[in-house]
Amino acid sequence: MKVNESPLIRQLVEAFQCLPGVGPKSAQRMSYHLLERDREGGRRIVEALAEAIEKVGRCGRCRTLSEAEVCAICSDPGRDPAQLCILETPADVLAVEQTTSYKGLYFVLMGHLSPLDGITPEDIGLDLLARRFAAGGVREVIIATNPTVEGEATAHYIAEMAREHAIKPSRIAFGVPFGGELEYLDSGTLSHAILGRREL
Amino acid sequence: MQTLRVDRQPAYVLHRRPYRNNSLLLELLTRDHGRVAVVARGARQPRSRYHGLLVQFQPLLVSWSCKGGLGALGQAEIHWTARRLQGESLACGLYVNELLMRLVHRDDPCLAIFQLYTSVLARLENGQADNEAALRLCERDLLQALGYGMALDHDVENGEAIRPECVYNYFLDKGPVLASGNGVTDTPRAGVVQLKGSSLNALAQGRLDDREALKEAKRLTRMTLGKLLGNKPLNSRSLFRERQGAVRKRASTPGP
Repeated sequence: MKVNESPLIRQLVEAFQCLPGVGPKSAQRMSYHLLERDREGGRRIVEALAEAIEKVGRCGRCRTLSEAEVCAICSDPGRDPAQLCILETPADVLAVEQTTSYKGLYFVLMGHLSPLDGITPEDIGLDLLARRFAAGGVREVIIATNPTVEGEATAHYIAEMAREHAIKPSRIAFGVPFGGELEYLDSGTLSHAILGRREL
Repeated sequence: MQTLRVDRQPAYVLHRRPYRNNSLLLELLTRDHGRVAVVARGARQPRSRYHGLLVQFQPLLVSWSCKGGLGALGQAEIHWTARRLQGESLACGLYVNELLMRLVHRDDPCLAIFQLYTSVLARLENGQADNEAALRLCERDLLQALGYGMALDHDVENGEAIRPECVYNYFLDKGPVLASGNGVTDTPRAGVVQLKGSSLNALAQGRLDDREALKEAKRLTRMTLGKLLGNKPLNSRSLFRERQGAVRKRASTPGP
């Protein structure tokens, strides 16, 4: 960074760097663009950001990001409350929603169990999930945590919880991507695909 | 400073966490170099050459270079294909990883630790029934490798061999001592675990096959590990503890 740069600009450049994928160079480009050419856009960002940070909280039922007490999906009477899909992040909700084939409800963990990082069951809202299981009405829980070691450990933990309440747990399938070619697949995925094969 | 280059070293990933924008910071347990920390650059990019490779419990061959501090991961390949740990075994594996992360220092080569890790994973892969015994033997061998080996085969006061039918008081700072009057009336004290001679023998010989021996061995290793772990509890125990109510219904107790 240049020595004679003003402290306010430097502060702005540093602030942009909290975004993922934004390093010093891109942060500088963004800052100069807003100041030189698009002050109106800058103002819109400030207002939208301030309002969102002020008002967006968590849905009381599924823990996803929401500005209402209960989010739009949870309060939609058209959805099947007997099916509950467990996801790691709010972005996963969008991804599953875009498939349009799922019509149940969600529960968002905002992470996964990771003892080495100090993340325990309460940190990902499993006490809330246990209460929801206990309240009844859920028949099947579809566990769609990521296929990592931590995601699997989380899935196992939730499956045990579900069985305690006589709820059927299921895990999303892993394997060959649709339209993919076996030759170019990594061996971990391929072995999972063969272990998880199904009858035709 | 001289650059250290290591080529195709057998290793396991103990822990991984995101680093910078698209890299991973890995804690590896290696055969000849002990625990090392390396950065896998670009490992979180969708088309990374490490895709699906740098996962816990997967036997790997890794190359890295290191110029003091953090190493940089080079080539990584599968050493052999292990069966995946699932369910309870997976939680046990995470427990072992946490134990090693807490107790094994970086860059302190120890072949025995690498070997005990390989063998505990092999036992965990074989399934649920054996898990608890596998963990106890792993803890026993880990304590041994770290220089805190437990005296299990003789009474530390009179030097006599452990008699299976007797009751012993195991003192944290010295070892087993025959309990006076066969000890049944002794009240529990801090730093002392009371257990049967047969359980000591079972742990020493690595054949923990009845519930009582398993339970007593667990109390003993937990006390001994507790001294090394200090006040900070192991988080992976919460993977088991929370469910105890449910597990008890099925008449078995959870892992560590």
